Formats: sequence, structure tokens, C-alpha cells
Amino acid sequence: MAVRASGADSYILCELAGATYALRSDDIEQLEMVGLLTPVPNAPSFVDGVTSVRGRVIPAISLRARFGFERVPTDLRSRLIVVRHDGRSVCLIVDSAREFATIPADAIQPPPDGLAEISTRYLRGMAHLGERLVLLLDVAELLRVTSTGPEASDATALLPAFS
Amino acid sequence: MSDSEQFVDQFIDDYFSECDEHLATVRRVLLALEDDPSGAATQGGMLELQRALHTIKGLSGMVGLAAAEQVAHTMEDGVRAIGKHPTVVRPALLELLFAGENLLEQAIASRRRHGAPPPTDAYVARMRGAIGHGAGFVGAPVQHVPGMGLALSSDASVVSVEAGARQRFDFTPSAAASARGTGVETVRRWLLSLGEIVEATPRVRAEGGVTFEFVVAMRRGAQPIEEWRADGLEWADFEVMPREAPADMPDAARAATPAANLVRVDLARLDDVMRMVGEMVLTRSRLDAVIERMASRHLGEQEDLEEANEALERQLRNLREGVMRIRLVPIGEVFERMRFAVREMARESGAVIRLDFEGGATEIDKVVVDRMLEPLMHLVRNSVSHGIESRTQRLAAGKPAEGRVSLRARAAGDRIMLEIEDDGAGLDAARVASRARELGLMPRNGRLDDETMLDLVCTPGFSTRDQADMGSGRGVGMSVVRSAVRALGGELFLQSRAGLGACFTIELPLTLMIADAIIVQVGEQVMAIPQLSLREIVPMEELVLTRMENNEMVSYRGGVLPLVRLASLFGFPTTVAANRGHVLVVGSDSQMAGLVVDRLQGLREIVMHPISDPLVTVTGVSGATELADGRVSLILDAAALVRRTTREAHGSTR
Repeated sequence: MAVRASGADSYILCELAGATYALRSDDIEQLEMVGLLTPVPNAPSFVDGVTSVRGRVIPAISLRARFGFERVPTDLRSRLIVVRHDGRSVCLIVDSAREFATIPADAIQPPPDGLAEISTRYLRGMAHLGERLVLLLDVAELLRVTSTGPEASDATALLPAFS
Repeated sequence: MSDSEQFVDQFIDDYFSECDEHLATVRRVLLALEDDPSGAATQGGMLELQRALHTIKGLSGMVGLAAAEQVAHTMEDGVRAIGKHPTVVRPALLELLFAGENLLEQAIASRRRHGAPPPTDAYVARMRGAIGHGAGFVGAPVQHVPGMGLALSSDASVVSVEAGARQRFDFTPSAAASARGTGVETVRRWLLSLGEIVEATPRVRAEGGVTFEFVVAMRRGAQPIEEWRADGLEWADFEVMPREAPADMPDAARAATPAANLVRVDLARLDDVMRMVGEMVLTRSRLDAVIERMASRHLGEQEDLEEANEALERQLRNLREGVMRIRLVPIGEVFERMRFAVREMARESGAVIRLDFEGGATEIDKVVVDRMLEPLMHLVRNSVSHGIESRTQRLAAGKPAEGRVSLRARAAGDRIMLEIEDDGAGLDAARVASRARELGLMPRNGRLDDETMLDLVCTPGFSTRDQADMGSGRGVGMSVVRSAVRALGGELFLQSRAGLGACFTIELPLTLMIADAIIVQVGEQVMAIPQLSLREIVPMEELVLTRMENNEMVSYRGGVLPLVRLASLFGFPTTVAANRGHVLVVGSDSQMAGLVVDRLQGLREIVMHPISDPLVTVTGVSGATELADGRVSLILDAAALVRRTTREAHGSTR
């Protein structure tokens, strides 16, 4: 196992509604072009559906919708970022993702209060890359299920009584 | 994290699965010893037992689980003590060995949970007392494989190893090798390129640290690569072990020992292969589509292409079945575990229980077997602690004093039936009814048939016992049993006869992955429904529609069939008029429903993917599949849709 240089992680940078966000490379399984999405009934509003990524069927979240921005049609620059967290694999749809960057841990500051509350929930922090401001995303928070929609599955409806 | 911790971390899953395997051997041999107190037929078993315990001891030492190491060591002493008097297996020692197995399981489970291991000193003391001498525990000793013969070829520069000859390799993991990415798994792969690994034993070295000893049945002419030595793999150039001569082993023991031509495969790798087969199935269906398009243009040489395509389909089907067969394991292993659990329970309660097996050789997908262990265990425990009456009650009812629990497995088409039957008192209908009234769950018609009774006892929080007892109250209720069965696409049934006994039947799919499905259109969306869950497809025009409040139904074969309009259920705009479209008739004789779809697109072979992410779990959808155009289609879960419909139609009080 390779020893990581102390205190600096590598990140993939993605663009969304004019801002730059960063996801830790360790959280990312792969990058894909946006393929065909199949809508899923009763899913949360920010879920665009399911898609097939190399033989697996996984949900796709519209990051724009997740952050409360307006949805735009996907184009050739749009990307699916497949992230993995807590045993789950989920796609994030972003406007584009083309750059890698190494961000030292001590360059990361807490998210500023000035940002709208809806975005700070999903942020681990922010950092300056040269002139640019980069917002570091919190994958756990992005994938959190806030409501399961009107109908929970049979199994989940039964389980709590037995914990 | 230190190197050694990191190493243990990599190894810990292997540790658990190896221990599971060896514990199964321990249980099997102990039960055999108990059934055959003379011990005459179990000499081979004793060897097996010692070997299994020895391995558990070594492995436990490696992961630093001293409690398990100590118990295994103590049990080894116990086994040796029995072995010294092979004509009389002493019941006291045997009882202690059973207790030891239990303690070992607990110790290993504690590690799995990251909890504190159980105390073991009392056990060690008891065993020493029983053996009558205080054999010291000094940690796992270093072992040597003795007497390895040589087989030199005439050409001294090239060692050609006879096919099937065995060579030993020692691998000592190091931080340096690990940094280069060389771990036990890497070495395993290297060795697999040379032949078959017939033995892999970790040994604790005297100076601390671990060495893995591999014995490889070499393919003819296979040569280890010199560079491997740099990463900590060692072997003697001319050291070749003779082929194993198991003649001195009794037949029974040999049959039970994993034979040398068995290979252990990580299930995840089989999943990978299965996924690849799935992708090929998909590619072939694209080919189908192309050929179909070509057919309309009469391009010639069409027939050759079609022929090749058909051959490919046949071969793919064979390949698929071959891979699925690899995943199948006999259910008998699980049955054996039940025997052990029942023995423990009977001992605690003093009841006399006979456990019968039938169909232990029935093979089921490994994943299904693993997930069925807990539910089966729960049903068996229920039978023993709730079903079977006390001895006095039984005798008064004119039944034999010995209670009987039968486990049966059989294949029926592509479904597997597991039955758990007892000759106890059956479910206490009066008690179930009174509890149902308490919870306001009693059906309006007041009828308590088997199906209703099962629904009730599977309701979370529904237990007719005032206090959970040790045997059954272990946190998995009947509701969890049923959801575990349903999660695998199965169903649970009950037949209870008051005073005569109860029989639970679990019906499961044989495998999970690929099925023939009808492709339908619901609104604009294309969906799939497994052909096996369909009873019939009827065009809407042929049916007479009746509306009652919000429910639609049609008369069907002398009865009434409730309809579910899938488009409105899923919130898709429908594309056809209300009296058009097709009705898919699904369900069992007692519970049927008609699913209304807009259009039929035909029959396809689909690869089923589970959809398990909480973001996209939907009642009525069991998974997804990829169609030839690359688009994902949702797979309809007929059983769930029927349950949903009948629940609404009956207007349950919930």
C-alpha cells in the first residue's frame, strides 16, 4: 500500500453553475459520460433516476437539484462522477469535470458563513487554488437520504420495531 | 495503524471464513463422536478434529485473539485425551468439547463485533481437571512439515516436476513487500499460475510474525519465477513432496475432508464472472437486433450469421448455467448447524427432540444459503421452544415423548422449497386471536386461517409470549424471517394443525441473476416482468371492467380480479385509453391481481441487477436490467404488487 504524502489529498475538480467544487479522489470510483437515465417512481426530487455503469445499476443524483440550482440539459461536457461511500455507489451529475489537483490539508479553511445555508450543509471546507476558490464537498452528506419518498419499502417499514 | 495491524486487517475476513469452515468440521465430528460412543469408526474424525482445532489455534494466534487460541489449544488437549482411550469416549470430555466449540464461536464472534472476548480461564481449568493433568499452555508452537522427498530430473539445470507433484512454498509478508503491493492474495495468484494450491497454512514463528506455508500441486513443467523471492516467497529448488497417500485414512473421513481437487473461490470473483456473462448476454441481444434489421434488407449470407448467432446463444446459456452451478452449495451444511443448535436447546430445556433431514444434497445459491441461515435457525428454535410440548403434555395427548422436527429441502423447477415441520401443538389460534384483538389487527370477518395467522405473527411487535425466552427471543422475530425470505424473491407459507404440529415452507428462487422476462410499456417507460411470475396475459378489450369506489376489477375465471394501473401507481402519464392495454395476471390461486400495462414488447432474456440503494427503493420494483439499447429498465416485483393490492382491497385496519 502506497504511503500518502503527509497532509495532502488529491482531488477531482468539477464545475457546477459557475462554481468549482472538489471531490477527494479516494471517494471516487470512476468518471463517465452521462448516459441514458431511467426515472424511478417516488424517488427524492434530486434523484434523476438510475443508470448502468459498467454492468451495475446505480442511482444518479443531479448535484444542481441537490443544491437547489436550476436543472440544465446534459451535454458533451457533462459528467457522471461515481462516488463510493459506506458501501454504496452513487453517480453525481455535474456540468463538467476535467481537472485534478492536490490540496494540502493546511490550505483547507472552514466554509464561510456568507454562503447560502443550503450549500454549506454539503461542504467540508474551502481552499484557494491560485486565484480560484474551490469548495470541498462532503460525500456522506451528499448521499444522505433525507426522505425515502412517500412509500418506504416493506423491509425498511418492518425493521425499526426490532432494533 | 502499525504494519502488523494493517496486515491483520487485510487478513481478518479470511480468518473469519476459515474459522467458519473449521468450526463446521469440529461440530460435525463432535456430533459423530456423540452418535458413536465406541469411537471405533471415528479415528479419522479424531484426526480431522485435531487438524481443525490446530488450524483455528494458529489462525487465532495470528490475529492476536488469545481467547480463541487458548480454547482451541485446550480442546486439542481434550481430543488427545479422548484419543488415548479410543474404546471409551468419555462423555464428560465430550461435553466439555461441545462447550469449548461454543466458547470458540463466542470468542470469534466477539472479534467480529470488536467486543471483549469471553472469559476462558474457567473452561481451561475444567478441561485440565477432566484430563487429569495440567498440560501447560505456551502459545502456538512452530510447526514443521516433515519428510519431504526429492524428485530430481536427469537434467540438473531444469527441475521438471512431475504433474501433480507437490511443492512447498513459504511466504513471509513484510512491510517492504506490502508497499510494493505484494500480499497473501498476490502470492496466491502467483501460485495459482503454477498449479493448484492444496494447502495454505499460516504458521506463527517463534520470533513473532507469520509465515504462510503453501503446498502446490504443480502443473507439469510449471516453474516459479526467481523474482518472487525478492518479495518474501521462498521455495527449495528441488524440494518436491510426494503425492499424498491417504490410504491410512478411513473412507468416511476422506469423503468429509475437502478433497485436493477442490478450489476455494471468493464469491465476489464469481460475481464478477457472472457480471461478465451478463454483459455478454446483453451484447448478444444487440447482435440479435442488428440481424433483425439486416433481415429486412435481404443482404445475403444472412443465414450463416443467424446460425452463428444461435450457436452463440446456446453456448452462452451453457456458460451461464456452468457459472451458476459453481455458486451452488448443498443445503446440508446449514442443516448440520441446526442439529447443533437443537442439541444445545434440548440440553438446556431437558426436552428430547429428534431432528430429521431430507434432501440435504439439494443445491442452492451460496448467497441464498448464507442469508437463509438465520431465518431457518429462528424457525427451528421456534419449533423447539414454542411448538413441541412438554413431555407430560405429549404423553397425555398420546404422542411419543420424543418431539420431532423435520427439515426438508427439495427443488421444484427453478424454485427451492425448504420445509420446517414439527409434531408439536401447532400455532395457538386462541392466543394469536386475543393478541390480534389487543393490537386491533383482527380481520373483520374474524376468520383465522393459516394465511391470516402467518400475517399476524409476522407483524412487527406481535409476540404471543409474555417474555422472550432464551431460545427464540434473540432479536429476530418472524417479521424479520419473512422479510429476509422476501428480500431474496421468496415467500413464506404456514400450515398449522391444532394439536398435530406446524409446518413452515420457504419458497426461494434457485438463483438470482438471469431470467426470461416480458418487456412491457408503462406510460412512456419500458419495464420488465419475469415470465415465471406471470399466470396469463389478457387484452383489456376482452374483459368487463367494474368499478367499486376507487378500486377497479374484472371478472376472471369465475372470480374477481382486482386491477392495478401501473402507470398511475408509478405516476407516469398513460398513453392508452382506460379500456385498452393489457392485463398481466399475477399471484397465487388465493391472491391474484391484474397489472395493467400500456403495451407488450415481447419476451427477452434479462440480467437482473438488484437495486438496493435507499435513494431508489420502490415498492413494486425488485431490481433493474439493461436492455439492448443500453437503457436501464426497472423490473416489476409481482409478489409485492399483489400484496399491496390485496391489502388495499381488503381494507386492512392498519
